[in-house]
Amino acid sequence: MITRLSLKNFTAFSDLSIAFSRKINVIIGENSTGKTQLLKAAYALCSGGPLAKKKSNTEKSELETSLTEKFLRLFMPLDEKLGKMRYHGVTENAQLDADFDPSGKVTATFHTNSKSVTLHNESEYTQYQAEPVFIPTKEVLSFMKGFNSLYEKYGLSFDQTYQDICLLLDLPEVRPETLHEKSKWAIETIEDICGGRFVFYGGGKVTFKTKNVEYSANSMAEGFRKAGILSRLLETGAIQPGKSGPLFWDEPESNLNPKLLKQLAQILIELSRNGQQIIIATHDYVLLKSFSLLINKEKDDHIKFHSLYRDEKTQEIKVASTEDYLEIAPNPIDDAFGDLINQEIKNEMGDLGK
Amino acid sequence: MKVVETDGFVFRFEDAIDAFVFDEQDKSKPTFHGAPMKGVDIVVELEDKYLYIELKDYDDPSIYDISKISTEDDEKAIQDGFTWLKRYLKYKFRDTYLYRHAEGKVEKPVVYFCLTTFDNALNSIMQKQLKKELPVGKVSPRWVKAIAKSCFVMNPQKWNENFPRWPVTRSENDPGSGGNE
Repeated sequence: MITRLSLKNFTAFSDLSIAFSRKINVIIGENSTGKTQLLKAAYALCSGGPLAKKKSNTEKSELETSLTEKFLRLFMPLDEKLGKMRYHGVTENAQLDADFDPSGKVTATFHTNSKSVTLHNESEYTQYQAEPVFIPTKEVLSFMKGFNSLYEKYGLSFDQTYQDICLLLDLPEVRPETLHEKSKWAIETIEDICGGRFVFYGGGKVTFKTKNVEYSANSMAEGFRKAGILSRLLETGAIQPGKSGPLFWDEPESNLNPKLLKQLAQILIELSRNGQQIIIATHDYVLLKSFSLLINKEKDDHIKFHSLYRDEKTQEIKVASTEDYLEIAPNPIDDAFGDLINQEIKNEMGDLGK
Repeated sequence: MKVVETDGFVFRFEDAIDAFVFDEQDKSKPTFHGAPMKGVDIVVELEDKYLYIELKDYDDPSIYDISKISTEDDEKAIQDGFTWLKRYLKYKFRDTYLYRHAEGKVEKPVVYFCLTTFDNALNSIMQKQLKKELPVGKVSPRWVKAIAKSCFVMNPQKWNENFPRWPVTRSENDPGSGGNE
């Protein structure tokens, strides 16, 4: 798991440091405060160690090249160069630092004309080998057939999180005896919610099967397809509580109804109780509140809310972290409800009391 | 300036005709309540309105501490608590209105304010339900006037944001006070 991330002169961030909970992290913030960029940066750095694992005796330069490619494919700068990923208007190097648990750390830097990131402690970096998972905003079951080949061949306007997730979904199932007990429970829970299960035939072909009938996955509600992604990642062992790296999930709420969101929060909390680190970004009140409602400190649950915001004076992006829902500040999700209250008061009371 | 102190809070109404602790328990005071009925904490008379203000659970918000939910039973208990609070706020208003009717003081529209420690989203939910149940507006064609013109549920920060001329602060005498709210 990742315990700390520091971004200096990188994309939208001039200088930001965030300490993650080992269990659940919920990142909120208005649009354009860098939530997705933060998730991608953490995901890229978590991917580095496992990139080295795939090749034995990885040279430092190979690791740097792999990591550079990862960043370019995740952030997709217009000219496909690292320089565009530096914070606008500064001359200093971009620097990314991360600490991992149980061991490992990384410092990566690059400047305007760098062809590759420079790693400063690669031996410590490769100690961290737990592979992360990133579930992007859009569901992928409806278009994953043939997606990987197209992605490799053409310059599609999808960042690499989409290719990565499609590859993970297409892995075969792990043996039932190696499936974590809580993974089984989560898969069954999702099956109950959806009224059936998604079946993966390889090559991106996916169907949805009830007791008696098999449908095209595309005929299913988009929210169910999103839940199906989580279920499949558990089936393939891409998410293995206690073993896999962090689960990053960007806006899980899109296309999920509020009832499903609460069940999703419950599943994620259960996985976190069994060693799965969760890092999500959301705009959704129900999801945010569901986490705060369902957390049980007696079961050693732990959650951190991270609020990204722009400093009024400098316009730099800052983060305020807290473990207490009521202490989240700024809280643009709740502020939106506050604005509605203000409008109602204005409609009724006019200028009274002002 | 009318200053009213109750339940650990002080309100200042710059332009009120009158403002007083409605459920006054001190027999020596002319505003002593003295009836076996519920009552809101504060009544304010403005030129063209009455405001009823009810403060809820500043000293012990843990009763509704939703962060403590861990089981379905807990959740039900909190939901029951929420329903209980809604009913409590509703009957406080109705009894107050009845009492004021007996005083001959319902000639102006009444606006009900409930100040809670909930977040804006939960307050919105409570407000919506409370409006329906008070009820707000002329809900029957037989009515010639509404018993409540409107109703708002908000936290003190939101109150101060919307009513800078009627600020509410924590009372210095409040043992739980950590300074101004």
